[in-house]
Amino acid sequence: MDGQQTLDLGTVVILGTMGMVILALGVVVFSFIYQRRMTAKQNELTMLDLQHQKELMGAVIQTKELEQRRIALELHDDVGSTLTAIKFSVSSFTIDEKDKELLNNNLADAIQKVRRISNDLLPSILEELGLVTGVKSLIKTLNDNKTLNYVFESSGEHVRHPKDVELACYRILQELLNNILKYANATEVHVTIVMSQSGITITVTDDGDGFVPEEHLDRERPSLGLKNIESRIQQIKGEITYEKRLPKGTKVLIDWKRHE
Amino acid sequence: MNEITVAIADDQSIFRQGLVNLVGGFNNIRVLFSAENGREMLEKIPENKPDLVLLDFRMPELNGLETAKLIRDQFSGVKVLILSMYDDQEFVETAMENGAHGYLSKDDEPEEIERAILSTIETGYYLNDRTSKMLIGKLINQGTMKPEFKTPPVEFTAMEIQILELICAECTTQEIADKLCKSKRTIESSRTLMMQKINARNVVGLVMYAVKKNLVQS
Repeated sequence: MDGQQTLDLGTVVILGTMGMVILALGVVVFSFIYQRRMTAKQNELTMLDLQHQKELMGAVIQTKELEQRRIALELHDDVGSTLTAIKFSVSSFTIDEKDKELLNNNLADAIQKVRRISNDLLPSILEELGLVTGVKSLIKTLNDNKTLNYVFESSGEHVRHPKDVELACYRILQELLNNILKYANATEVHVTIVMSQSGITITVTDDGDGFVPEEHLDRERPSLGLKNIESRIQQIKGEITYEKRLPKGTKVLIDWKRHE
Repeated sequence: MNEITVAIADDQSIFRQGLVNLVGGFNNIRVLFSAENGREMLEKIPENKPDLVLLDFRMPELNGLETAKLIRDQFSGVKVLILSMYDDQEFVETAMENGAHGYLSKDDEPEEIERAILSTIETGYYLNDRTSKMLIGKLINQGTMKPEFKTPPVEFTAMEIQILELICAECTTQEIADKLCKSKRTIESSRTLMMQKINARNVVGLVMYAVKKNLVQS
């Protein structure tokens, strides 16, 4: 009887312990699964957030370019033309020659200013004559500033691609060249453009310190310029790759394919 | 001299009207019609063919550049002058390569339009000092433009060639005079003499001649 009781007690203790252990395991497993789900959810949220941020940035850039383009064309076509029309009328006025000269000078000044602002907002050479001529002119201006030695080459067919693509490529190139000038310690920069019906390939090589964005991810904030480049390239569904050159320098490749 | 007939295309109506009045007021020049864009211009040319068209660069439907190309292909006798707000070298180059016979900036004085029309009809080209300077370098480097001179070969003196070289190097008359130790007047008169020798109307004609005949080293 006593033995029986002891046995029962032992069984109870064992069963109890087992129950406790199972319960504890259950809690552990549950919290583990819960934790994983939470993390997954968190990750998903972060991803969505990032995606959203990227989309937002893309939208901001797109809106900015659209608006800039509108203002630039309005300035050029409307304000510029009206001023020019006035200037032409003035020549037939019968007024004092001195007054006329003063008026003409002021008008010419205003026309110049309108043109400069319009051109800053939307480079007219790019808009009217296309990417190759636009970049050629950009390089010429940079060489005139006598900072680094810029070499430009273009080949392929004489084609025009959608204006937003041309503009994106131009802005990316501006940003890259600006970065090289500011940070790369380079002396010579080569820019080449290959144009074809099927797409655009641009390479920018320099002989500077060498730069790949992956090495700069640890920084608290990646530079706005790089983010800009990334957004613009996503906008036009293109690709950009950076690689270090030996013995020194960087090669950046921009590639865009026409999507039918 | 026969009356010169002109057609005008510009999308800005105020400016177009001003231009029609201005050009119509020139001696011996008549405006046949005006158009809002290149497309309209091309439609109107066959019914009423002008000697020369004045085209704006930036126009809807068909811009000045495309219109110039099509006029060159379809109506070879019609001369094309571009009159634009754009005045960068790239625009001048592209226009001349695509069939324009001259390029004027809307910044230029209105009186220059008359000179440009007359010169284009008479010599086939018109460039002013600013636009010709833009083209000289390109001309020498590439020889893409081949102006025709109906004059027999002309002999230039050694000094004249020297002056020509300096003109092509964009020196001013004063600078040339200083370099050659001559007076400004001497330089001016030998330049005029050279222009007479080859029947050029302005310095551009002289430079084009020099380039075509390989008289100057680039």
